Amino acid sequence: MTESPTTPPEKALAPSEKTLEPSETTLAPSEKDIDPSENSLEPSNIIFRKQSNAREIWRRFRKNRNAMIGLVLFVIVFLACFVAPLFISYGKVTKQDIRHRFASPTISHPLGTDHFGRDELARLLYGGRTTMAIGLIAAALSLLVGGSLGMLAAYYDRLDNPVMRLIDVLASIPPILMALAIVSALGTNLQNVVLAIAIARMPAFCRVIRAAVLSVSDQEYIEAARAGGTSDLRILTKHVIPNCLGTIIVQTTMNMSLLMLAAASLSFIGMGVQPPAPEWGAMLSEAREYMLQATSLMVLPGLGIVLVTTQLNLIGDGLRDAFDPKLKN
Amino acid sequence: MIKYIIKRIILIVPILLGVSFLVFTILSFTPGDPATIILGNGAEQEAVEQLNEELGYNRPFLERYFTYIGNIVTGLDFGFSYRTRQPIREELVKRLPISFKLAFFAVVVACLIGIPVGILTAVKQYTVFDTGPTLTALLFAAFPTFWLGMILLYVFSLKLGLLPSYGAVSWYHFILPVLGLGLPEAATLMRFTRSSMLETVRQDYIRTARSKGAPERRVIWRHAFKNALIPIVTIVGVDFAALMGDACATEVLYSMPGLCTMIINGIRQKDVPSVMGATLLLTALCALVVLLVDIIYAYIDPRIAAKYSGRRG
Repeated sequence: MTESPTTPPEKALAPSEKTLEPSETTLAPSEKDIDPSENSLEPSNIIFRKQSNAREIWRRFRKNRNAMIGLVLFVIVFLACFVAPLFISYGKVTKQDIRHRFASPTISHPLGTDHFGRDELARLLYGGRTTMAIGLIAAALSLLVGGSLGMLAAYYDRLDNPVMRLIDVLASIPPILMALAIVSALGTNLQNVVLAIAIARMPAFCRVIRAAVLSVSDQEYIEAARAGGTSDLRILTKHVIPNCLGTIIVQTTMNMSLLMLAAASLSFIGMGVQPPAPEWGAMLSEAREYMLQATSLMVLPGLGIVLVTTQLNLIGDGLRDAFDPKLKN
Repeated sequence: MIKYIIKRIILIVPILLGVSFLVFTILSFTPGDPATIILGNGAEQEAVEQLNEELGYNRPFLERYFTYIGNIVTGLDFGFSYRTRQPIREELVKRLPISFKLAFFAVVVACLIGIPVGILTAVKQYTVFDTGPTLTALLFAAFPTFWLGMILLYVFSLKLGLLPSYGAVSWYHFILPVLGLGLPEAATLMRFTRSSMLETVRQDYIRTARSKGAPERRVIWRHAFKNALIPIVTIVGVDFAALMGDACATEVLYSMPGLCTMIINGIRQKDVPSVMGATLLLTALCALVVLLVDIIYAYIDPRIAAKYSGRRG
């Protein structure tokens, strides 16, 4: 009942949805089984709305050519970096072969070797895995902490001022300096790098999600839920978060590319992932000294960073337009 | 107007105090005590303890913090380096101009390229003048500054031998770092200018200006650009502040003796006062730049000044 205000515009946007109805309702019972007590009063139409909404967003996203190119390329790079290491042993990444340093591409080394004679392809794939994993985990962490803070600040008036002043202070420190200070105190290892860049990015998540929650929380359906005696926890999880999901997803995608860049630049200045562990930023840092001997060592990791960040930005732009077609210019 | 400026200046004090407290707290987690770092691991226990006592390391945390801040506020005294035993202030004064120049000229480059091209793409939307720059900007915006810097270094100093590859002695040394830092920024600024202009061009007052027969040039510059400028100025200020931090990788790449390299060397040598001093100075500068932008903003946007002038509000 409380969700009804949002339902009509969704339907108006997508007349084709009527045809999907039968198949959707068949899916509903299985969903209901998972949570019979909660949805007993609000039958399958809620689940139907959510699924069709996702479908509608996917349909709009699919029509966006740039975003689809970004998504397809991203999936390819992502799979290459996360699946290929299952077939290439880590030993290949660190095995040195000084006699064959700076070798040209051969069958055993498809992209040649680096300054220690290590296989460049293996290092690139493992390096990409590290860079992307750091970006992903840090984005999740930053979203979880920063986003929750923003949500609570927006939902509870009492918390708004103290939380946001704290965030103002955090935000006045340039992210990279913040990350450097944290790494300096805790030491340079993978977990600390993730922690450092996640904390440094927190203010951005907090502010955006606070704004999104603020714009949702004075809507009538929230008021109605509150009037009906729904608990705060339930209002937040069932009404506020689903309605801010667009902002959350778009922000996370966009920030993931920034976090990957942050991780790479920390490693580049020698304060992130430490050699010999492969990471795109660290690999670039190592390649600095051999720019003239082996240009490809300096080109490939950088290309990797640019490709993945561009793809994430394209996907983010596409998602933003898909979630809110009004914003498109 | 003056009321607004005073209010903004007063607001910056708690922010700076908060920032310094936060940085001080984080860095106080650095393992090891100063005396061991200064005297080395082989030093005698008594000497270590005596030096720690002298440095005030054994006093309570809050007391140490207030002493540190007090010294900065009253005498611009940032303490002594653990390594060189020289005052941090001298080092900061030497390095500040380099970091500042780098960020400043990068922002100038970004504005000179980003804003005009952004306007061009917005005015010529859906033509080659739009898609070309927009696609280029999309790519450049994703460039890590240090990678672009490496490419510029490779082409212009290693291959062509035109420009120096390290140091910060003359303006000559600044060309490559400034470009490496400024071009990705220009791309971001261009994308922002474009969307801000597109937003403005759709407003009613632009249609009014066109329909009353104002020449196109006047519509674009006088009516559209002036209004689109307001958000752009904010972004430029925020980016300038961010660039001073982002310059880290650039300073390292070109071995420029700026504040960021001071922080990194400080971390490597466990020289906490250096890290603290440089971080605080950079952060304070960023906050001041943002403050300055807010004040400029009030000059550009009469609505803000009106809010604080009382009667008209």
